[in-house]
Amino acid sequence: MITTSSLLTICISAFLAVFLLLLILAIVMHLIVIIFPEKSSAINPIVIAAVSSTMSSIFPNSKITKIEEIK
Amino acid sequence: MGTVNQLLQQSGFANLTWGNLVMFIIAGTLIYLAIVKKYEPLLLIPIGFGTILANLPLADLGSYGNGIIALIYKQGIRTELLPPIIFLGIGVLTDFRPLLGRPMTFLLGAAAQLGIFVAAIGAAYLFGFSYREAASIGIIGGADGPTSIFITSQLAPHLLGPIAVAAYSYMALVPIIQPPILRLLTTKKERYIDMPQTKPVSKTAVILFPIITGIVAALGVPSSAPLIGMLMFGNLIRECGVTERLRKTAGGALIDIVTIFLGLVVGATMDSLHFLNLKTLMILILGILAFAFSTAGGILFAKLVNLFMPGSKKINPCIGAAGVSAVPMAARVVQKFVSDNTDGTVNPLMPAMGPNVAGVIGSAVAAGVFLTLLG
Repeated sequence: MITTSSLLTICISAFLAVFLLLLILAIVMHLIVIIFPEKSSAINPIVIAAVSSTMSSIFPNSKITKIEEIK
Repeated sequence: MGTVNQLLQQSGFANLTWGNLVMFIIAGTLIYLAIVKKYEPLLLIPIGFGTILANLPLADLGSYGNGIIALIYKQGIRTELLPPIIFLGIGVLTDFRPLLGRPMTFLLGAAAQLGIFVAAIGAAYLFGFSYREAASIGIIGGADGPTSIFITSQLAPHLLGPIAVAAYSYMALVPIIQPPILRLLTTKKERYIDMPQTKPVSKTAVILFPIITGIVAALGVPSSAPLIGMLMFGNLIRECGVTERLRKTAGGALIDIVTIFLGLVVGATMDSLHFLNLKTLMILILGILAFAFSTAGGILFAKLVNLFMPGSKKINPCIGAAGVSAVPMAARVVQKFVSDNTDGTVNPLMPAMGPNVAGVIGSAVAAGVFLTLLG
């Protein structure tokens, strides 16, 4: 039998549970984002676009699979 | 002549009650709001028409009767089938990147569930509802229609109509409910806090998110698994990039079909016998209180967090209000409010989307906890 006072307990417990679960998810996802960072392209996208358009105008049926920048 | 008399007596006209007529007016209002004001039309149109069907005397088209609507109610709502399918579609349609880019906003989504618990306590202590009824009413504060329907169908099915209508109506009224609370609880200086864009999130992290969240939430609160599990499955088929057909179906035809059934059935719970009573009025009052406290919870928690943050990392407390999970309306309301109050210099739409989508998870977890403790 649940008493009237226990509804308060249920609500406090539920609120804490929501907080705890989302805190765990926040920590885990923070770690995941650090472990698997977004790889930024080493070559400027403008350079990629320029090379692609130049190549396709010279060799219309060619397909560019790799662009390497040597500094 | 006798036969004609008998026919007339068995017609709906002869059996109409004042209650039916009042419900027709309420249904007409819902349909009007949907068509003219564009308030949640995908839901208010089926709910409004379902209400009309349920109040046609002798037609037996109410959810609590024995007709075809009752069949959908028994097989779709009482079995917990339809709300999780809606969550599948929501998962497909939701981009969680703003949340992953700023994981701290998970906590704002949790804080913005405050109204659920305040309303539940108020419902039990002030208005004398049973615990199961109070928990169902409180979930209105989660600003999440399917979650409200999911928990109410289990804990207080006789209150399904008013609770669902309150949840969807107040979701539509977020642009009216939230700005005064934002104005009351934030200073001009706080509204000017401009949060930087987050770093892009990798595809690997985006794919791992639904898998990890599904497992962690279902292990932590198993009762929330039908909602969170389907939400995360939907998000996985959105992000994995190899299930285009499933993504299109779940986020398009499937969610539309289920919305039609869900709306009609919820509307059909609103026959005059079940709807026109004092409890409905109390639920509407508690529902708006739940929304207000949830909004305040998110804002105040953001202000609390700011006490411990260095100057450059402070968050705009207004985004806490977006933690109520009316996606994406709450985030848009916050963005508009901040923009209007900063002469357009601060536009925190993406920062507000983080707590906004976290709120979807938060309200589903809260529902799961209630089901565990009261189910």
